[in-house]
Amino acid sequence: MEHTLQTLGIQWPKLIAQVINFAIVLFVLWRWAYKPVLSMLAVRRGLVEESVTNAEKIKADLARTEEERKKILGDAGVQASKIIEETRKAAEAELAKRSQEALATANDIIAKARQANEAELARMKAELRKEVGRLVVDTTAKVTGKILTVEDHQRLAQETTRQLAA
Amino acid sequence: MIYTWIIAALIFAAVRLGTRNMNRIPAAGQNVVEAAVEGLEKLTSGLLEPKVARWVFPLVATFFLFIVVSNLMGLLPGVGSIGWGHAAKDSALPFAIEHADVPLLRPPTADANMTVAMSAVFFVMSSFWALRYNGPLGLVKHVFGVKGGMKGLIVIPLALIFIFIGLIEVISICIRPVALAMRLYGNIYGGESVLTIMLTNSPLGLGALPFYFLELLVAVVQALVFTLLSIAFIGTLCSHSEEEAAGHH
Repeated sequence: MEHTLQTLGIQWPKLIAQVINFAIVLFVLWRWAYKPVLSMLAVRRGLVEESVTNAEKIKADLARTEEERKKILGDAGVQASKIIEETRKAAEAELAKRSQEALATANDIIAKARQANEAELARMKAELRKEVGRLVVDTTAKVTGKILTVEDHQRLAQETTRQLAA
Repeated sequence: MIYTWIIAALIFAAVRLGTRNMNRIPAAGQNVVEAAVEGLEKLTSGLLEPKVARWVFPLVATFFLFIVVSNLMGLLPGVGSIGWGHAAKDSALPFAIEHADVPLLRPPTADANMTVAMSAVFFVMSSFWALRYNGPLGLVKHVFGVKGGMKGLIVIPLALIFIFIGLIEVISICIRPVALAMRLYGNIYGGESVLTIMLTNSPLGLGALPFYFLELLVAVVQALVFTLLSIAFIGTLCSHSEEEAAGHH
């Protein structure tokens, strides 16, 4: 055993010193390399996980927003069609109502005009009769050279009126 | 010994430069340290249970970093070749020697004291973790217990066999640090010897050139082998895989 150790150059003081040297290197690396680096890696891993989670959340939110947008657009389309349809129906109803009113007004105007015409015609006819009666009386007086009495006047006028009416 | 301190100081300086001002967005130095630590952490946690990986990581990572830096620095010109020895008779250069019997600087991994020291640390720590993980009785059961989920009378003859296997396992556990130390020491010392022979026995030392490339590879591979075997050895002592497998049956 001793011979083997001697052949390999192993000496207890050197061996113990090398154990201490290695322990120092181990401590230095553990304290100033492994600990801070592993902490940093854990922090970075946490950040990456958080970023991935956030990205997935944002993706889900985006999909939900897109879904909502499509739904809102669809609803708006349906509502717009409904409003257009209602407006069209209301316009048609208004048009029909206004047409009815215009027709009634026109009929009223026509009736009133007819009544006015008839009244005017009657008035003109009455005036014509009166004038014709006066002309007949005047003409009769001039032709006969006779001064006509009130009774003659009345009789001639009535006769003229009767004939004109006939 | 001096070169061990130089290497330790170099590692310390590199680590301090890398981790002095740590930021979430790493600079070049921090990136290098982080890449090394993260790579070794993933290697360890990929082979061991999370709890054991947390215990073991600092030690095995230090094994790798220290060995790889030592091995690579052992390839620097002058390391192992400058020192005290018999004066060269027919050399025109002043202070020329035939061979550095007592070199000024020696790579720590070409010195059995360092490799045995690391193996001793490994042995003590792996035993401590095995006890911590299994408990004293659990460790005995882990080594000598009947495996394979056997039950009934068959356990009695099997117990004798497994006690014998356990004894072999104990010998194996004791040999592991010796194997680790001698493998690393042999490879690096052998590589150093090959380089010295090729440098002194070929014109202008050009014969050593291919071996330099080989030794660069060996420097990293041996560090990895030491680290991986340490993890594997600890893994055999700190795992419930056999019991779990038996439980599933």
